Amino acid sequence: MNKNGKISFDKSNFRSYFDQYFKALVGFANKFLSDIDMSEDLVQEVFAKLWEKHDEYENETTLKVYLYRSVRNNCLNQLKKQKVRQDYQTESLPQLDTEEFFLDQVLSEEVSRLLYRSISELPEKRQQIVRYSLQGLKNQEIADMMGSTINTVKSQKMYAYKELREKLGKHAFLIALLLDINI
Amino acid sequence: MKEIFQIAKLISKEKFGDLSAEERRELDVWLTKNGRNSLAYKQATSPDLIKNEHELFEKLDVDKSWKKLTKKAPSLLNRKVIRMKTVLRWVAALLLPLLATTYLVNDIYWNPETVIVEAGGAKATLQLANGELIYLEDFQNKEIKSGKEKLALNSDNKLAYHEGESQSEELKYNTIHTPTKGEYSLVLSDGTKVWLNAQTQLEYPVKFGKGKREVILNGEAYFDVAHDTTKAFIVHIANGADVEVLGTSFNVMAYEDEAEVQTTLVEGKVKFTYQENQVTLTPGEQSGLNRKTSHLDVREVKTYQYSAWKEGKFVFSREPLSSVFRKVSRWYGVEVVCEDEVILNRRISGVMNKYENVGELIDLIEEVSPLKIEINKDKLLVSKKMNE
Repeated sequence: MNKNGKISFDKSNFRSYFDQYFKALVGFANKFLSDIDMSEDLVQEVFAKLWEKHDEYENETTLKVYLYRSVRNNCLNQLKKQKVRQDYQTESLPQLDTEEFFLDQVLSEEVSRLLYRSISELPEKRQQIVRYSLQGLKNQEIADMMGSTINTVKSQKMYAYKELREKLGKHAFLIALLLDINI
Repeated sequence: MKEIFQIAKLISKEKFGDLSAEERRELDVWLTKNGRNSLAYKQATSPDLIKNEHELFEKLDVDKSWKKLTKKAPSLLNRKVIRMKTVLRWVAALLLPLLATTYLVNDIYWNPETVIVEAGGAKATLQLANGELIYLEDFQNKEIKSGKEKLALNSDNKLAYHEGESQSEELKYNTIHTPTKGEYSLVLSDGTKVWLNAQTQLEYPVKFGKGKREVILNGEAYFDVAHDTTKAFIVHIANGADVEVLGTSFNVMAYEDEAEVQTTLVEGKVKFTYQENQVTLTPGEQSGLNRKTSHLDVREVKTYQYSAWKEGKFVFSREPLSSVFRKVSRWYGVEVVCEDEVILNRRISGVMNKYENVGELIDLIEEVSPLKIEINKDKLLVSKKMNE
């Protein structure tokens, strides 16, 4: 990242962007392709292209927009090719190529990605507690599964959640809304 | 589409507990915008879906994929270039001290591309009654003394005066001063808490006397005044205006480069006086005194907007860019250069953590407006985007 928060890539930072988005983009591609190997391969291709283009991105959000859009477009192309090759009539194709489907999947994937990333920075025991509680398990059930007491679970969970909120808060400035700027 | 990423952050945060009121509102606005959004929300928050996705993430091997990627894009591993760069860096490191003796390092070495303008932070100077100056940020966890008498404890970027009342008629005054990029907080001898924004000066007695509690403000401060019905608390502003209270929370913004002196009442009751004009404010009200015309106006406001700075946030709600830029200058120590009146009169809204460096703020402004902002040393150059 340089002065304006603009992103341009070099060998030293490219890997960290790859690490940050690779898994989520594979998960995202898989929603179109339902084939993990193919999804992995496709996302590698997208990153290869990203590197070769050497473009500059205004900020991380514009980069994300680019990544999700290219993965999606490549997926749709892939599906079209398959369709021709295997003469494979898929009912779901028309729905997969709508903008709404795209946005909904991006939202889900980003939520999963952010949760995964922040949880994986926690100490191991807390990670497990948070995962169980995201699955909807009650404190007592978590305590039973981990051979711990309910009070330990409660306090560990409280610390973990506090830490997680802070982690997310750090990245989550909320601008947003709107603006009547319209010069 | 960009909005989606912000919503994703809010949803993730919500999963781990409460959202702030501001965030809650933002998410609710989005949720109720149309029926589709609430369905998308349901999908994104479904525990089963998240669990499946996380299990998939666990299975993926990033290192292995990275290796495959470097085969597809071999220039990612071009070792020769890396070595060359390292060598150059060493040469530069060795040569620099030599060059620095003859040239201004700034001009030749400082690559403007890498300039990061950092946000302000806790920083203030204190002037004692005898004229002695203390740099508070370097004087942590220590007692401020006048001779043998302990006046105040300076710790965790807060200056707390010891309780007590002055026995003599003549009061001793201290003055605290925050520079550009500075902020500080203090507790006065009566227990009143004060937060000082950047470029602010407050003069106050080390211990208050038997009569009124009086302080002098230039700049911006938030006061949480300790209740004492027998001694009114008065903030004198340099242009001659006074704010008088008994015990209450309010913000006074009295920068000389702002058109108005604004007093915003959060809790309690205050009386604002300027020459023969006087208004009494109730919570949620703000008085605005025009510095040029002396016109005094009272309006209802969302007080949070005017006190958010002390919670570490910038909150803009339809705020003219001219005013946004003045705040940016005080907090980031940069000069904002914008000659276009039309731009300056435009309004923007948004919330940001004020401890982020200036690049974050620029991104946000650029994202929501057709403006381009460049950093050039300590200047921000504002212009319209060429293609719009």
